[in-house]
Amino acid sequence: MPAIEIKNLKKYFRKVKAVDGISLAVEKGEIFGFLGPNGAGKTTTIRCMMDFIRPTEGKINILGFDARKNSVELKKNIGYLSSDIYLYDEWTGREHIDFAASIKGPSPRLVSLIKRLDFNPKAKVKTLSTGNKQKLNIILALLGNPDILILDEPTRGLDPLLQNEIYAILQEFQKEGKTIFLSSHNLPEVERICGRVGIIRQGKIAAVERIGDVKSKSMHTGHISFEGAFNKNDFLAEGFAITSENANGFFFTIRGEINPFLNTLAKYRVKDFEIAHANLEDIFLTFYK
Amino acid sequence: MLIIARRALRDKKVFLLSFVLGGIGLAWMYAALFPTIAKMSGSYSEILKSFPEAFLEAFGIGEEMLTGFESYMSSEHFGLVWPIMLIFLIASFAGASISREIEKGTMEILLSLPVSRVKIFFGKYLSGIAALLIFVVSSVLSIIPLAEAYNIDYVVSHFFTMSLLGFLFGWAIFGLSILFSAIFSDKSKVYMATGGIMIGMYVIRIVSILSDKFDKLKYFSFFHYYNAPDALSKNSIALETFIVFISVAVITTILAAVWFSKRDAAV
Repeated sequence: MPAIEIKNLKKYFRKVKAVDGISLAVEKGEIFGFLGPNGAGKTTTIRCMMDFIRPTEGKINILGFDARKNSVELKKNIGYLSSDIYLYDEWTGREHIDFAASIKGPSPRLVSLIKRLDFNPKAKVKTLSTGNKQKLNIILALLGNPDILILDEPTRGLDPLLQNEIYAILQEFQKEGKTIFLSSHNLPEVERICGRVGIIRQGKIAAVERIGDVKSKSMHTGHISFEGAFNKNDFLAEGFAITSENANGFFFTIRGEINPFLNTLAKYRVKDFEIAHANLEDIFLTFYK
Repeated sequence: MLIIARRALRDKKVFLLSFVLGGIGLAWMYAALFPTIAKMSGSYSEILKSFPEAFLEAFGIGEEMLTGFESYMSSEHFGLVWPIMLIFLIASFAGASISREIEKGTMEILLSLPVSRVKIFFGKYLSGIAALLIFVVSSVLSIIPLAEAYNIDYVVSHFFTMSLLGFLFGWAIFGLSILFSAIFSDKSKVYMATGGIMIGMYVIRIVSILSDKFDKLKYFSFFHYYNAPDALSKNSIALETFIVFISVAVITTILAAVWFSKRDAAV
């Protein structure tokens, strides 16, 4: 039995089809990435899973229970983190934690989590930085020892060090057999910690793939300027494409492995060079049309 | 549910306290003025005679206000200022209860916890009812020691009756406001809808008094049933007042709870 099962979920806001018939299943003990650009329908799907909003059509089962009919029982076992920071400005972190714990129950890892995230629970939320607010969000999501974590962009606003700490915490949860459903628009993040990924685009599931298959679809974009003459044909290989040219070099995209390109590049004297992960929208346009 | 109610009340304690102190302060001012006004009742009677009868009736002003402390308070304090304070307080509590939480996104904190929407609703509802009770009881019953302090004759039971009338009036308004709060995702719409209806009801009340043709319109106004002079001077509340206020409060509360349970509670 899957830990999370979504069948033909549709959510329309009048004429806007925010989610348009998605189906997917997440196995117990899995870290499942829910990947898509902004506005793809990730948050709407998650809000339906949490019963914040009601589906136009379709069914969601979590741990074998209907996510709507058994919402209260299920939430004892679900840790949730929203995509935006929704906290009470006048409350302290401690007040948030105590309030949630008084309803959800104490967390066995609360003290260590506060220490690990270096969070000061005495400060009022309105005085906290975005990163510290996100730390509090994470602490609240992990309260009560949940079996399932539903996290909507959990590392948003966090510095790289803290992101690594969050990844480590999530991997520890997975080792305990807990299931994690994590939405993101950051492909490297999903590649790093997820076993499988569901790719959503314009409200529809474009693909559900193992992370290894997604990695093979990774794409880079960049620009190079040479000090002297160059032969662009030296670079031509599978997955490589020149998108525009100028007198000293060219702009390019590389699908998949970048080493063949770098090996060729090593033969030249380079004046300037820039390469980066392609953004998710470019990847979707290339692979998941 | 009680945890949510307690927390909601605690979050608005300063706001509530300011209304309570404001209510007591105004009552104090009117109580302090009463001995002087009572001494000058003859001159006031002459002045009042120069006003049209319908005008005096519309604004709850009459010679009887000079005949006793209860009558005076019913027209001066409970005729307009006190109900306005009550409406502001109640609409604010109702608006903050649901629509503001949805508007600010903090409703997600509550909805992500293992507690049903009905319990969230009634948790918030209870905090509003508690605020209403605190305001009504403190601002009405505080008049008793104030009357003592200024050696004014009064009847204790009449002020308890006024508290009951104030509570019923506030409960009906709270029912309407919480229904708007359950429907809208923007607190300003709650204030506008509640304020608009109350202003409309006040106008209906005035029109029904000024014109015999529109007399029956009075039944559509809460201000017709909110009869402070009868409560304070005659120690009575009409049966129709109980029926209308309790019916409105119960029906709107049920509608609000059902609406909140079924709606999309995130924007």
